[in-house]
Amino acid sequence: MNCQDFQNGLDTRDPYTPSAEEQAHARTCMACRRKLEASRRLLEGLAVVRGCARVPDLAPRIRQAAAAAGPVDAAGPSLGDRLIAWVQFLAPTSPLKSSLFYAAAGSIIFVLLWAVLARVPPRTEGPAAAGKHAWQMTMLHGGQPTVTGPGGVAAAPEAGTTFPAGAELAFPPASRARFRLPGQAEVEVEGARLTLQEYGFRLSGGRAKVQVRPVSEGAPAFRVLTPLATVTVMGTGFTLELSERRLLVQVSAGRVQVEAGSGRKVLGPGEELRVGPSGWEALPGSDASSTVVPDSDRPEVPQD
Amino acid sequence: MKPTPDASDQVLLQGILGGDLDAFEALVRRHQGMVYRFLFHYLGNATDAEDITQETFLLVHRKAALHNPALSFRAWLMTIARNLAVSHRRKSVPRPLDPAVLAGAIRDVSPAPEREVLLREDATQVHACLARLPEMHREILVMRYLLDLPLHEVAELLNIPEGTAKSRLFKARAELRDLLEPLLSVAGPATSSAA
Repeated sequence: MNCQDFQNGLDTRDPYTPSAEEQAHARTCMACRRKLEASRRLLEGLAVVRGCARVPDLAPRIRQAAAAAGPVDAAGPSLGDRLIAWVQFLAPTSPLKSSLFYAAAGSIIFVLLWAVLARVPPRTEGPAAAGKHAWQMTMLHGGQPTVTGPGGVAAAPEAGTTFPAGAELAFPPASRARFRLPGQAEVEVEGARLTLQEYGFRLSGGRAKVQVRPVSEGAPAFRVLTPLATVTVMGTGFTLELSERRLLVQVSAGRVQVEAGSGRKVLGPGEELRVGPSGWEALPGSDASSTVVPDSDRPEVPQD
Repeated sequence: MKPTPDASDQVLLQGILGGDLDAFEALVRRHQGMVYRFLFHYLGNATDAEDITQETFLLVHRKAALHNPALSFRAWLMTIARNLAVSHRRKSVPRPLDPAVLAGAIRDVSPAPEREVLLREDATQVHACLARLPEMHREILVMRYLLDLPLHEVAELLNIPEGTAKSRLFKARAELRDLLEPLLSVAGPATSSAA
């Protein structure tokens, strides 16, 4: 036992009775012996002082004073008094009240936190989140792309290279690569020339197969800009093939909105569409469920 | 109508509200010991303790309608007494213990005459050091050691959780001991229990 243990024992027991070990320590330590002796004499002194209060019989005198003071104030407690009384009643002064008090406080904090956190959209559901996650590129086949604009940062081979928004990449023909916006979109390109954006990309040539996780209602949509049309993702999967004079859009799942020239079309699963410099190019059997919307209703597309 | 001796505080309060002075006197007799002893040790002065005890019960008589039956009457009474004592303490001067009363108290604790001098010194120093403690520490020491109330009741009277009362009590006791230690005559080997 050291002095700290001795002091802890002395200060945290009520009533305090020194153990044999503590007494043995006190015999060898002058400072602790003095503390122990002071504690003993303190309690003995308190016992004597306790007996010094000789209670007089004050009842007749107080009764007389009460009779002289007049009748009882019959007015009930004010609202403030009631409030204070209830706060005192609810104060955690017993184990049961403490349990109830802390359980109630914990529940309220949990509900408030849940209410706040439930309103915050997940990080994967919008361009703000996308801005924090740069594109990750993995080469699948062929030569490396030529990069202009913000450069890529080499990471581990399996993780590929990370590119921020604004990077422009030009792949050699037949060269294939996969881009991932973690948790949000995956794009496989072949011989493509593209500029990465925070939540989408600009395709200037080549082929791109896009898989996008659905976004919550109201969140900005994933967009692919091409010289011939703007493709807005309303669902999940589609393929784009862009040559100099034609864009081919094929939808595998979900819905995609294509805007070109004077209108826009919504494509469903299994549908495809061609867009040329002069507008839509018909494909046999592809118009059944597509919707053409006049140009005036077209949503504004960022032209960056 | 004379109140029965086992009538509850609540019943006596109802009687007081009806103007029954016997009920009031019964309530005073039941609780005056606790209130007076608390005030005597808290203020360190018998005359002031008597006056504040009277003032406390007169306030109870006047404001009986304000007592919330959901709360303990003793806690309400002690809150009134504490509040009056705190406001009065600025004017009150602690006085030394009456030698005659002190001698009687010493005989109650230890009839051995050879210990009288030491106990007298201990009691005098404890009484003086108690007056130097902060109010919060003094009141809890008075309730626990001088009114001899169990800790859970002290917590209820002070309207604080029992754990808080315990830690406050230990701090107060350590502070009083630290004040006392340099004042006591040099200690011999510690052989007896401190409890």
